[in-house]
Amino acid sequence: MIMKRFLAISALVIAAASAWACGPWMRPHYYTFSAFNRNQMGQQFTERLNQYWKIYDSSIDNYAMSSLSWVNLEDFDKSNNDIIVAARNKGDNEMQLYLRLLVTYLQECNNVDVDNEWAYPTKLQVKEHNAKLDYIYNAARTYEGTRLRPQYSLLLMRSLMLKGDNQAIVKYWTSTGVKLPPSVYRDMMQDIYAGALLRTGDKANACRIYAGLGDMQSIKWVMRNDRDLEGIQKEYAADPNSPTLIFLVQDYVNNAEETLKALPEQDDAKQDLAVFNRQLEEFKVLAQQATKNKNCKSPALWQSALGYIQHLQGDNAAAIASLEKAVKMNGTQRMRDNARACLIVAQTDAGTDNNKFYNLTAQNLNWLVDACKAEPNDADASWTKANHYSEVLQNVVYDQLVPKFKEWEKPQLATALLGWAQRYERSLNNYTAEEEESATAWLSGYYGEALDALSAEEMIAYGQYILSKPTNDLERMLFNGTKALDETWFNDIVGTKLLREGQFTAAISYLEKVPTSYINKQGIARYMAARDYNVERWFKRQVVDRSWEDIDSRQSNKTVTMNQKLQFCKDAMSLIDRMTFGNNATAEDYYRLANLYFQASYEGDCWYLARYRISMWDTVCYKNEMDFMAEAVQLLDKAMQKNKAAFDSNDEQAYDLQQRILYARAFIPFGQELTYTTWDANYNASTHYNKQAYQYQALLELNNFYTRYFYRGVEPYISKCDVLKQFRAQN
Amino acid sequence: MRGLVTYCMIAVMAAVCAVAGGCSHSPEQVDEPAPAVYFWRTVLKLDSAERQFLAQHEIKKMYVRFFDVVLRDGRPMPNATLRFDDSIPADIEVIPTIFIMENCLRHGIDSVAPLLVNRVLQMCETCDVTGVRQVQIDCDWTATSQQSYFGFLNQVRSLLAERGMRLSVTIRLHQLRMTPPPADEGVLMVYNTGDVRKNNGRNPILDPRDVQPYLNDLNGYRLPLCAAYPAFGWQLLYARNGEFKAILYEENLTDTTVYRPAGTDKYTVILSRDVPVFNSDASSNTWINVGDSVLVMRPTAHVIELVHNQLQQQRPGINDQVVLYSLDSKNLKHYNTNDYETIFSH
Repeated sequence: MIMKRFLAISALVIAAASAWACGPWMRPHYYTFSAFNRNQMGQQFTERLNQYWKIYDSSIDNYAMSSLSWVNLEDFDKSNNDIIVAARNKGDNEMQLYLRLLVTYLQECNNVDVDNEWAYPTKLQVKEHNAKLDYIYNAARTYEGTRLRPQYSLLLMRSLMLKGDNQAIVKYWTSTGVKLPPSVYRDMMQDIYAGALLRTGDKANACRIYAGLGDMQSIKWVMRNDRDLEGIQKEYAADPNSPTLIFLVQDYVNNAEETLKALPEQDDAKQDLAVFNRQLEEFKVLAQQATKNKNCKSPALWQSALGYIQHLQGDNAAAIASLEKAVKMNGTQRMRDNARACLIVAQTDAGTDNNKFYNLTAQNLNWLVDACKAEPNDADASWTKANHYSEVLQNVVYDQLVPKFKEWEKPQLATALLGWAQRYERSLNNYTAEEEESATAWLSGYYGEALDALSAEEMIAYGQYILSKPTNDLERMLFNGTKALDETWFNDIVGTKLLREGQFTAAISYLEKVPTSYINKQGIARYMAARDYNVERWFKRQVVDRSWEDIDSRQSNKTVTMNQKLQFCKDAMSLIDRMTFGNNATAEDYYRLANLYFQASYEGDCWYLARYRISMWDTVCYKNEMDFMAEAVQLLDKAMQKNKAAFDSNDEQAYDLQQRILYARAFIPFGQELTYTTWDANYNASTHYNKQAYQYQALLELNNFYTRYFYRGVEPYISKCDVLKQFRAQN
Repeated sequence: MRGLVTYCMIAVMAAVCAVAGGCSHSPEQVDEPAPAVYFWRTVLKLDSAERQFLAQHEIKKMYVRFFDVVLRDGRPMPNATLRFDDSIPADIEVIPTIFIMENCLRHGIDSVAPLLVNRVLQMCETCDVTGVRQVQIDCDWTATSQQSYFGFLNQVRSLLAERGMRLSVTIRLHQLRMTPPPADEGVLMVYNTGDVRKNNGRNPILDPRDVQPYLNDLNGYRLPLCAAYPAFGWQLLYARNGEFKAILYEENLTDTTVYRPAGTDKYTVILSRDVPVFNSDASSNTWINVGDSVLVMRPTAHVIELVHNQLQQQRPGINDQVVLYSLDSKNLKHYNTNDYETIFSH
């Protein structure tokens, strides 16, 4: 009985839950220091080539270039590759000739990839391959035009690269390639040149070229043994403006952040941290020297590194002073923006509870929003806006401001900030219109968690707060466009919380303002439409369709025609009134209310009455939440007391009710677990009954009833109950 | 009549002798045993130290990893194929070796045998590797994959035999308790004997205590065997709680800004960063965090010699051919000439 329920609810959880209903969110911490766009760790050439082809013809999509290698040369004139088609349609013979040669080269690249098939090239095939490369080389070399000179030059160098002729690559670049005008093709050639330098032992220059091209991924590998302070000092001494330093300094600062934030707790780590801190001081000395070096063209890089490390060490005053200088120093715009982002982090950390800080915070958040818009998306984040500044913004909001506001006992400000952040993030991402219309979309994320955790009273107070007059720039920013303006949303949340807390009368005044059309946009609608809290849970499991299509679908076969929460409150109050006033309540009333309460608990089918989502780990976890299950158990006990007299006098209805009460008590998993497991030395498991458990006692009573009255006839739900049979066999 | 009785008694005694093992089994040696090495890099290029080693120790066989077989899109496919940038000294026999991932044995390995053999032969032809008489298959098969593996080997052996070639296989210590694979000979891998995940004071590359339980199975193992011993080390990364994290890839442990010496062959991490790990994919990284430990595990010459002698005692002739894993000047420098002479001795 219990296992079946567990499995059934688990299946529900998958459909209904986006998170543990009562649990906290885990979040990552992102690095703040970023002197170069991290897309440079990926395939930046691909992006630029795609842009080139898009300019050539707007019909060319981003996949056309990568699929060129699969074009069949024999069917070239009939190929439907976007690029080839565009050149054909334009009558661009010169481009078509080039594309043929490019396809030839790409196919040779496939041919040398010996790991993609079992066949290994024969000597003849190797000879043919080399001959093909020579053909490509010669065709590229003898191109007499000018428009596609960069493309042909790149092909020439690529053919040399495939042949492994590093000396020829170096020679060609230095004599010819270097004279070409700037373009993605020239940069790709230079990248090949850097590879040749690396393979011929000139690591330092290879690295500088990689850095200058923004090929940070190559630098990371090449400089993997020189990422420490000594490596930085060496590179700085060789050339204070070496572009490799951008990667090395950023890597160093980020690793310092990683190290300092992973402060170990044991005493034996203090010695290690002392060594590390000494090293940090040496780095700071180097950074200060670099900023004073008139030959250094990027003091902003060093000054921001200095400032951010000061922040990491806890010296925000010094950090702010350093970073304010860094913002104005020479360097790339990226370096200055990086300094500003670091400054924001330091200022936020140093902030105190006053309007000056709140006004500054509004300014800082707006700056980060603008920086986020200006920053290109991460290359692998096509459906959402994820980039470095969106992550810095998240750090500032979630890791710094929200905890600060809570510490200052300004939970409403913290919640309002979370609401702003949620609305901002949703505006960045490609939410569908359907999601925008969903009436529980607000529930996901930190804002939803924060609102969900409020008691009814706190929620009402929060609603009043965000409708109040702002007292500083931050509040002005946060209150703008607030969701609390949506009365239906607010009434539904407050009404649900009041129901959850057992304040049914108060809940009615809010819930009666919530139309069913609103409920039908919520995820719980499909359950509300199909279930009835009047059904006794211990006799029937109200299963909602479990097909995968149904889980994903937002359409339900049924729609909510009545606000069950509202009706529940009315029904409950009707029963409570009979119990409270005039003592008119019958045993059946107590039993019925017990069922209502149990259905509304986290174990019931109608959990949606008191919460918007359910998880298999749920318990009584919301603030001021009424323990519906405990109340149900007490009501069943009272029902039994009320029923005693009639039962003792052999009243048939009382006999029937007695069975239902006893069965319900044995069903409800209240209190300690009914069973526990032990393992022997061979890891064989044995299950035992926990005799201290409420449910054990209830089963015992049910069993005693069955033993005593079976001759008279007991209901099949008792006589055929597998759980009771097992209990009887083992007790 | 008397002669018949005598004859019968002799016959019975011979049978009893055979059944009781009174006639001792003399384990077979591998064919033409000679000092040998494994070459396990993806680019065949020998530096002067390696060439000198080959000459100095009169290495006559080189087990060269030609490629791996891994599962890709659900099919066994070649991977990390050797690139020939150099030649092997003419007096050294090349034994192409192919490592097969165990999970390939459950995904269509039946059709791989002819593909594999043809590929090896083609590689030899294209890259001018001559005089190949034997091919080796390396796979850490289990009881579950035994049947398909043995079926696969039977096919390979048959295809090689058609060309007058032999098949050898690697044997791991735990496989000594299982039926020998259908091959002509085997190389017993006397390394990677422990579990890197257990930071229990034992060297996971080679520890006599890990070898001990298998010694009794050695003499009766019905496959000509030689032994391979380790000449390499690992940098093992453990978290503060002792949990194994990764094998590092040639980290510079003398960098005192990142690592603090914390004992013999032990270092503590004092700077968090991401570092490459020991993997065929060079882009694999892991994080080393402050407080992590790095243990350098490298079997001593003494331990190798000890195990070498133990094996010799259990199975005379097993060290008639010793294979060193593996030929790499970065590892070779950790042992001296005498050490190698002892290892190669028989």
